[in-house]
Amino acid sequence: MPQGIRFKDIRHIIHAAILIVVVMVGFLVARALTVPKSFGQYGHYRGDSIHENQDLSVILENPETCRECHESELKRKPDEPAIWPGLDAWRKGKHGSLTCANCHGNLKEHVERRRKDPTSETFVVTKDNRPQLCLLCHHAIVARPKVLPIFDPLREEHASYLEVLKEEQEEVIGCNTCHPSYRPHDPKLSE
Amino acid sequence: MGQLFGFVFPDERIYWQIPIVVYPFLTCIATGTFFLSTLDHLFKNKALKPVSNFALLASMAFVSFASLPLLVHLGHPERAFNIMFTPSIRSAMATFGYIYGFYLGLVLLEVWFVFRPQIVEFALASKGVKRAFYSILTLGVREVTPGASRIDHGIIKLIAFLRVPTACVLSGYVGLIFGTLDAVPLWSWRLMPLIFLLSAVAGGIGLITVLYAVAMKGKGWKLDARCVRSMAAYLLAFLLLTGLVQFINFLRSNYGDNPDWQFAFQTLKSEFGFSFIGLQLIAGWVAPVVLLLALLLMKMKDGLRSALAVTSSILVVVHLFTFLWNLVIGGQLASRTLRGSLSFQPELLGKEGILVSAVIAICPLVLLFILTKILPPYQKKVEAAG
Amino acid sequence: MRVNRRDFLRYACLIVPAGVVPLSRRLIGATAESSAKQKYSLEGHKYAFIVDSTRCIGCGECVRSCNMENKVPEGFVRTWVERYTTTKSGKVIVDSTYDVWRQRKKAERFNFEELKSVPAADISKAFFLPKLCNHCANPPCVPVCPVGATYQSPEGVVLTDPNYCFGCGYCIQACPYGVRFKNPITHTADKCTWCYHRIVKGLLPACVEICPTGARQFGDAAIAGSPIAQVLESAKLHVLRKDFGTNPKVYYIELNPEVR
Ligand code: HEC
Ligand code: HEC
Ligand code: HEC
Ligand code: HEC
Repeated sequence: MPQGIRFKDIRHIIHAAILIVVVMVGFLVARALTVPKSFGQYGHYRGDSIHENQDLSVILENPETCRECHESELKRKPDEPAIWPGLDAWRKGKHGSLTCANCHGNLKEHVERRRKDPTSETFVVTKDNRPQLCLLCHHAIVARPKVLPIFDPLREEHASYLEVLKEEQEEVIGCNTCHPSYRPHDPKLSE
Repeated sequence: MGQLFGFVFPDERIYWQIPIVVYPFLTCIATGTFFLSTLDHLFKNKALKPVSNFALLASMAFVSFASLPLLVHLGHPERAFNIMFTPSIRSAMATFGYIYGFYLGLVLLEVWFVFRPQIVEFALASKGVKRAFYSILTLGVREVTPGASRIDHGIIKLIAFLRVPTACVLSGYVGLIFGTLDAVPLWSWRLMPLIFLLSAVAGGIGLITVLYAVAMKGKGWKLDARCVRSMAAYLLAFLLLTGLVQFINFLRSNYGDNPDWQFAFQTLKSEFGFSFIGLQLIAGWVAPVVLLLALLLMKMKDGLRSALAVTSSILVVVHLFTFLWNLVIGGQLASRTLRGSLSFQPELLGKEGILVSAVIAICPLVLLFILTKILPPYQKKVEAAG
Repeated sequence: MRVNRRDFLRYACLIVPAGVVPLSRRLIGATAESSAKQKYSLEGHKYAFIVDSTRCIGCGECVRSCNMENKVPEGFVRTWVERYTTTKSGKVIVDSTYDVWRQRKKAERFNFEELKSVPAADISKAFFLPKLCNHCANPPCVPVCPVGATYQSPEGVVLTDPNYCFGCGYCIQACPYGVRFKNPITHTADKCTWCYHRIVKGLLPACVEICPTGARQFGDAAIAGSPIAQVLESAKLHVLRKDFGTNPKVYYIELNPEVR
């Protein structure tokens, strides 16, 4: 500026500058107060988030959990063959690649309750026995790979299910009367 | 959610709805209106003098509300400041946050410096609440010395100078938010910022022309013919540039080997045919170009010329809005599967509905009206001209 | 042949038939107990997911177990199965477990039903294809997040932070695979995490755990000699939308060109 600048001329600028500085300091303070401590611990994100994600509860049980109590076969009556053959025998069976949750629903509750109270008479395990469940996997629909054993409704023994396929009918014999859930490959008829 | 056609991925929805159309619209207008005030403040384009301060206030009104639709759209608006506190450098949206803040600051400063003489005058002349209000606005300095006025002029020039690149970057970054998303074929172009900038300037000039005409009508004053003509010329220039860049984008995508784009474009045409071809292209671009050419090249009365200019300006604003609509919502119609599409049925009420967005879009106009009451932008100039 | 294939499904972990990819279902499940006891380290993992679409039977159990495990809100999914049906005239018809859900309004199971629109005689080829987050090595969704609420964990798993995300939806737009969604309950971005909370405990992701045929495989390729490491080295694997340069870590055994 050619003629000397007097303080009077720039007083308003100083005031404005102070205002700007106040806003900026306010911003920095707010930032320091709100940004989580763990932010940037591993990268540009909240480090705690990793641990929060890790700590979510597991719901679907691994069959290995069942080993704790169902390792061996469960004989209800001494003269009849056990329904549950034991974990290792089940693994070797044709349904060994399935998971308990396919047919027994959510087992978390069962495991937790049984750990506390092994002898209680009240059961909370669903034992899905409806033909619809088996057909979930065995119904002959388009795109099923050839390796999968397909339920053939035209087979004599399967005749009673023709109705089931057409409409949702609940009152039918379960498939496990002939194909035990854990040994589906030996229909009881042939036994 | 809307209807589906064909096969779409299960989680695909139109996640960005009307607020995300309104948000770039307001930003574009805010950066577009800067252009007029810059021409005056920086390049001393005398023809634009009558609208320059008005444009400045409009810019302020629009930029103040530009982020509101974003806030409405957010799932957690209370965390909005995270974008400033922990910005991720590679995200166009985070950068936008900072540039937006900077631009808002510049506009506020510029308004303050430009209107300071008036503020001081009001603070001295008025009484009671009004006096207190203006006194706060003076920031405690209730005189304008000749030396200060000279310095202020320099500062205004400096700010106007800074504002040009900031405004370009601001509207450019809105474009980049879309342009960097390769997953959405209609958006993905790194030069999207250019389209946004040019459309923004065109839309901004258009809106100012309309608002100027309305304001003058309200006051019963005549439009400044030279100013209208000058604005019309700029409008035409930017409209043509927008068209050119859009056309380049079309050529590049249409004749490139890009099945995604082809599919998305087909979907846009079939779903949004009216708003794309009817409104955006014909009514929003061809019509104003013809009108503007006519009013610039043909001899006619000032009244008719102004009427034509205002009509084409309205159409240009429509163009800007439909361009954003077709880009933002139209871009999401095509599914990533290339086997189906979503259909968009805007809801009326609700957070992302038409009503809320309409209210947000009107807010800047209301603010502008209030601002022109607080800081009358044209009074003196018209008196001087008359 | 049929018997061979079926036995293969069962004994894949024990016998490696010549010329067939060695895949076992419980890749890390077998070590579940032991590794759970050690403290989990964020370093030194290289997780990979392998989808064998030739084995998928479309039972939809993966979708059900995922929804159950991750409390996915009704109407959205973190993983799903698609069915590609090609007719004799070359038309491709695609439907997914999402269509199953829409037909049943509220579905407990997500098994596919017979394709009604085409007579079986017209079909030349059909297969199921599971989809999930690809956990790209170069994820497009992470850099766009303005606040750092979605990130790649040190192991390379792409996660979201529902307590920091503000729900702008930018990452959802950026994903070329459409696997992200806005959770209507938390109002934040949500996606498949490969069941991060399970894998750090030495368990398999829920969808892998429940898959009855081993169409979904998961494991840590950093463990030398692990089945997944062998597959990654030996087999010819494909990824989805290679043109995006995202480098997915979900690999497909056999991927037909009509799949997007
Ligand atoms: C802490 C021990 C424990 C664990 C772990 C456990 N169970 Fe059980 N479970 C029991 C006991 C005790 C019974 C009752 C046996 C009886 O009826 O005599 C039972 C019964 C059952 C039944 C039969 C219920 C009925 O109505 O007859 C099923 C099915 C079952 N368990 C499934 C499972 C599965 C699957 C798992 C693995 C996820 C599992 N359990 C894990 C203790 C356990
Ligand atoms: C294919 C479906 C299916 C699968 C998979 C399955 N179960 Fe069962 N399970 C059943 C049914 C059905 C019953 C009821 C008994 C019957 O077969 O009539 C049952 C009964 C049982 C019983 C009680 C047997 C009794 O004597 O009453 C136990 C224990 C059990 N299951 C354990 C398991 C465990 C552990 C797993 C996983 C490793 C498993 N099941 C997987 C269908 C299944
Ligand atoms: C979650 C899917 C699933 C469910 C549910 C299911 N299965 Fe299976 N089943 C399979 C698979 C997979 C195989 C083939 C296993 C193999 O070949 O190794 C199979 C095999 C079979 C076989 C052929 C065994 C053989 O001789 O090779 C029969 C029979 C069978 N299941 C019956 C049933 C019955 C009955 C039910 C209902 C209780 C049922 N399945 C439920 C998946 C399922
Ligand atoms: C009346 C007894 C009976 C009932 C009930 C029954 N099946 Fe069968 N099923 C048979 C016999 C017998 C065979 C032939 C077994 C063979 O070929 O080894 C068979 C074969 C099968 C096969 C083909 C196995 C293969 O090796 O390819 C499947 C899958 C099957 N059944 C599923 C079911 C399902 C699902 C149900 C329930 C909806 C069911 N079955 C009910 C008797 C029965």
